[in-house]
Amino acid sequence: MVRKLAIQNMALSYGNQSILKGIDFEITEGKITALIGPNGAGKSSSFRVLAGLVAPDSGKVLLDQEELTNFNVLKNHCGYLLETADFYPYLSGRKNLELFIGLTNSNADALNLLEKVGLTHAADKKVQQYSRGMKQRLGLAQVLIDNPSFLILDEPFNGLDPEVKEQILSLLVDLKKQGKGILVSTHLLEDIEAIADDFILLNQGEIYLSGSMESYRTDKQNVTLHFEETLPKDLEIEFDFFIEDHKIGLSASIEETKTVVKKLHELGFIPYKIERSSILYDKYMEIAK
Amino acid sequence: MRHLLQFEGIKLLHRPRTFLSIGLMLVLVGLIFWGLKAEGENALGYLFQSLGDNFLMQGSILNGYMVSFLILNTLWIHIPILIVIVTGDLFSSELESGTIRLLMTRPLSRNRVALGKFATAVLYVFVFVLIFSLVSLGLALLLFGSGDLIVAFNGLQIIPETDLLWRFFAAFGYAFLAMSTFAIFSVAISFFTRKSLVAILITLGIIVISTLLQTLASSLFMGWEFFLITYHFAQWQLFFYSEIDWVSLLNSSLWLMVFSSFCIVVSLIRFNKLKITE
Repeated sequence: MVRKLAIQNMALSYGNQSILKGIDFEITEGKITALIGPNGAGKSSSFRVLAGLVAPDSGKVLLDQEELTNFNVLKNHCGYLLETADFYPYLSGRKNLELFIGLTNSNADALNLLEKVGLTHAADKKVQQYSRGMKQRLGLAQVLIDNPSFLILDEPFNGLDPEVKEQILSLLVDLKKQGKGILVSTHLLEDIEAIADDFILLNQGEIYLSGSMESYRTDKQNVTLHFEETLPKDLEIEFDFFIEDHKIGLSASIEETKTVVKKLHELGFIPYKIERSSILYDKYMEIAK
Repeated sequence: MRHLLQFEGIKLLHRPRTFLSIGLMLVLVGLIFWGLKAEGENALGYLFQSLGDNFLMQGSILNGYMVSFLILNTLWIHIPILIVIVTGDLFSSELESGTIRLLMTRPLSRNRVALGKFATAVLYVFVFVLIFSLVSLGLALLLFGSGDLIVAFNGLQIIPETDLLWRFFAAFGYAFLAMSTFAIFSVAISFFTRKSLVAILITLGIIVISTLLQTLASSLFMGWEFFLITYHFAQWQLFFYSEIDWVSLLNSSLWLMVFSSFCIVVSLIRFNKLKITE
């Protein structure tokens, strides 16, 4: 049975400032859900509530439709990596993991976890000698200690070089295949678009847009067709579009784009360049502005 | 709780200040030993020169018990400082370094984490006082030999050698209670500050003010001194009266335990309400 974690009406404020305005979302086993949004949208605050670091003003959490007593109970089902992974700097990576393993009497093996995140070579180095990327990887190893059903990862790609980022992305895909439900926040839309199943776009503490990434990947994307000649304003094609001197902008899938290009070709207009951009990216930029 | 104590214990063992604090205590005790070995016989001989003429003394006046008593008397203000360097940092260092976020994302309740800190502080005090007692009494007896103890409280108190060992054990036991209270107090303060240094300084400041009030303005605070924490710290001395005032000792012990409990409860309330945002 696929387990589902549902967050309902999660609200949080600091003093008079409302940070989260009653948001609802779900995390499903075997799926990656991307939580995206510009700075200040409420991503990190959402993670803090989910990790029990901050008590919400309201909201409830349901595991397989059964209400949990509070957000703190979530810790029994989730592994967390919150922004920067701050470990005890005077201990080695392995010792840090062993400490956390011992804390919950888990039977995980520190070296095995380090191997999963590619840190075996630095197992006995003190964490104060780790680079930021190494700390993030150690953070991911820590997340896996209790073999949780759900992983909550706040900006796990922060400070990673491209090579390590690719490794972590592929690790996330592996974990998803193993059936983990992953909630991940990031600024790297292109990367997350490639691996996420669902997305939640937050803006000023509210869900601005959410849904399946697949539909945004395949159905519609923003397309701009560039022409050398000036286009007539009364051009007729069977799509909503806009004309701006030498270009046409529309929202269309790949198949639809082909149809439009064919139609324009019949009318004597041949684009010399076709640009496609993610609608999600555009929406993100729209609210970021 | 066992896992949590292990967790805290391993961290404590990897921090230099844990050993620095114990090392400084050993240096202080060593310096007192050295001073007393060099000049103690002359100084004490001068003070108690007429005593030997009037009383039949068992052994030397400057014996291991006397040295241990002097050490206890000299260091009762220094020992808390050395303890708070370690315990005042137990919680605030987690906030300061951000490790508290990682710790609190583990499936542990906040109460357990906080109680783990208090238990670690008490455990540290136990080890500290144990080493302190072994060195200051055990080594003192080895170096200076045994004998009766003469102390100047309410006139002269002469306690025979045969009646001394249990009094020292009891005094060290009481010192453990008093120092544990102090350590718990310092941990509690650290729940209210985000900086280790601030927590340590506030705790020490309160102890210094309490000591000053007790010693400099005792006439002003007659009757009120019972409410000063340092008054209860000093009650270990009661074990070296010929007739022990058990009621005062019991009252002070209860005061220390109630104060410790109060510190723990307030800290738990504070920690449960704390928003860990950084």
